[in-house]
Amino acid sequence: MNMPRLSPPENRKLRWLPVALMGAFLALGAATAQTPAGGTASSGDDELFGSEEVTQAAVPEAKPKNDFLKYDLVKVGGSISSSLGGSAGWDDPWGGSFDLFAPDSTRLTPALSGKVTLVAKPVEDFGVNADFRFSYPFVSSATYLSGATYKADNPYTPLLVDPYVSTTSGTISAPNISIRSFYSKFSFKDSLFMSFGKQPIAWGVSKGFFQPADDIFALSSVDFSDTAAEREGPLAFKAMYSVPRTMTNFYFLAGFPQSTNTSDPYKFEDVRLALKAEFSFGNTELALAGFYGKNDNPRAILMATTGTGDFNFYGEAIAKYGSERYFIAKNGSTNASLWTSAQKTEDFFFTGTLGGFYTNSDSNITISAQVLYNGESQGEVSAQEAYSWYLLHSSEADRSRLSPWYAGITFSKSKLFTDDLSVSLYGVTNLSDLSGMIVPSISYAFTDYSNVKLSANFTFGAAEGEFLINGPDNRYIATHSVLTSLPPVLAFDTTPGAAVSLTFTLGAGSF
Amino acid sequence: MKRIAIALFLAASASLLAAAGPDFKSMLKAVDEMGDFGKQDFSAVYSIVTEKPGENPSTTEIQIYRRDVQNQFVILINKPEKQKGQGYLKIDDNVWFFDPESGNFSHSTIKENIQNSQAKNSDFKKHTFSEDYEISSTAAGKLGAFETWILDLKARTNEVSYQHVRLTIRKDKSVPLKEEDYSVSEKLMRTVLYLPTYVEAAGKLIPAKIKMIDELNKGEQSVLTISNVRVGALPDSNFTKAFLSRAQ
Repeated sequence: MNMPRLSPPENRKLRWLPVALMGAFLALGAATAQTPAGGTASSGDDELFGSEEVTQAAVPEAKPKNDFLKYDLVKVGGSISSSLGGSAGWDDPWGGSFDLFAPDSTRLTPALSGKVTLVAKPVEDFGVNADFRFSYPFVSSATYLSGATYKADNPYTPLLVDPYVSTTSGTISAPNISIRSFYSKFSFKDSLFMSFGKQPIAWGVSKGFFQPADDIFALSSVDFSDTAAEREGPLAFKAMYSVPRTMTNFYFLAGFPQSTNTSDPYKFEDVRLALKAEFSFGNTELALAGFYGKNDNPRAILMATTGTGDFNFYGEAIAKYGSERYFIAKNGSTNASLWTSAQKTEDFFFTGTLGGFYTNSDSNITISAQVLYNGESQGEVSAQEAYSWYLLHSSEADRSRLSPWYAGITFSKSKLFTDDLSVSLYGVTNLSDLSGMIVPSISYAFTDYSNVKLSANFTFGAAEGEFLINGPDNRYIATHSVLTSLPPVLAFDTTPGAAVSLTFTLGAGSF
Repeated sequence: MKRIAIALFLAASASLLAAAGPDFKSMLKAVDEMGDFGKQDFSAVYSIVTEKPGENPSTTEIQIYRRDVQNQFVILINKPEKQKGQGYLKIDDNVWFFDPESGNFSHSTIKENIQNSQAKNSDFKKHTFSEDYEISSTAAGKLGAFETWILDLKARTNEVSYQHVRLTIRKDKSVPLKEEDYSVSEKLMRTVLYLPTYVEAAGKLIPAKIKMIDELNKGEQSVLTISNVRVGALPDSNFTKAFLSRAQ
């Protein structure tokens, strides 16, 4: 048996060299396959990481300070909105007689408004909030009834039925300053958080064009151009309890609407009560609520929000027993004097909204869409007919939408080409009469406190469509409100229109 | 012949070892654990100075509270005064934003930026790289004075802010030095530099200074500086919507 011959060390080295090279090559190949492209640091980064690390020890204190729960001084804040603009409107730009340089209306719109807010938090569990609003010319005029005369003969037949009362009126001016909210916040044993006073009640999940849950308590309407803006609330008591270590919350709300009877402004039967329970599971938050008022229609409400990544969705559903709305019946006649109206106190009504939005904070893009089903629609009359009825029966007018189906969309993109340029578009449509409005705008900020905005308002739809009748520049709203003139002015826009406005915001901002 | 076989075996083993390198999954998990306070609550104040071309630097100060064991955190804005009282409560992927001006809560899953800075609300939660991403490639590198590993991470879900992250980790300690965030289309969106200055709390190293660079808008960046770091139990009520509303 031949034993293997040992080689001199040099030869052994040489013999292993190709193997080692092959191994190194394979290893290099593997490493190369793993190397991410562009994985090297820039020289600038290297400089930042050139120094020795410094390690500090954390502050050995048991409790963090909750600075925001207590202020040494009353915090004064607010905002000023000041702008100068001009607008031009064309009643029928698509009708063949359009002349860009001959608009049907022009308007100069200087505007100055503001608010001052006060927040006091002398101790951690008590605070007071106040919000004062005012706008130029800082006085407002109100018409009051100065006299009334019974008239047997009506010279305006058939607009008014006989007999009627002829009235005279006067005008009074008052400072145009309102207290939007004024309330205190306090807590019990750091677990039950309460507030009392005139305050916003935003208990719904929809912050879009249609907010049926918030509508129940809100005193102001949704501003289509800023749907997330705070809505005015009533005098109310709110309480909130969060179940520890869960995202389950309970709310109690009591609203105190002021009666028109000045000698007895508040009555027990007018108090409006609501309870809400909120639960969270996964990416979904679900809320169940009930509303009750002796002089109001009870409601059951289901609300939900959910989302995944940049897509989020919300929904509100309201089942209501009875309606305070006066439903107009044409009784088979086109003659408005033969129409009647009645409340439906023993029927069930359903209202619901679904919406969703996409937000890409890197691209500064937000897109949203929402649809509303209104179970309390005025089924028998067109929007124009309903408005005409309300002009003559103002006590029956309400804030509910007229038709059963609506939809809205928004798109906004900020930092377009440059940090200071933004574009946006919103559109709302009545899906029942197929009228609507589209409002595109583009704005450029010169500074943090001044910008220029070019916007347009296009209305579309058939004659008598809801979004046509005020006109693209809302010019016809003024004529609608002329109730004191006889005969009443019943002027509506009946064709798709367009209005363009250019507004310079001058020195506006928050403080 | 036998020697050749052994040599080939050794070479193959060497190449495999070189290919495998360290256990990168464990490394990524260690990075997550370095910023995870587990059953202890964590609170700190971050000062965020944001610079944009042609504008004066703006400063935002936020207070954060974290309960890592339940994946909860709260962000409250202390400065600027105008936004004081705005807050975020984040639990898992849910974000509740509170606006003290309107008294509104809004619930979403959006990873929005804090104020006008490059920092997103999700930047203040504990790192969950090992849960949210899988490692697609690795490499060795050097960043300044530090030997590093560079890991390319691909998102497992669409719940994360960025679908592709390139993470540069120190070899000597499980702390990240650099994070490059890419969009779905592989465009570099943001670079985060965790500068090698640390606060030590409960045996963890927390980067004391973080620089976030907006790669889409050149010249825009935010520098985050941490202070008032505390580790210890916080009241349960700190992680509720009611707590946020007290800021109003």
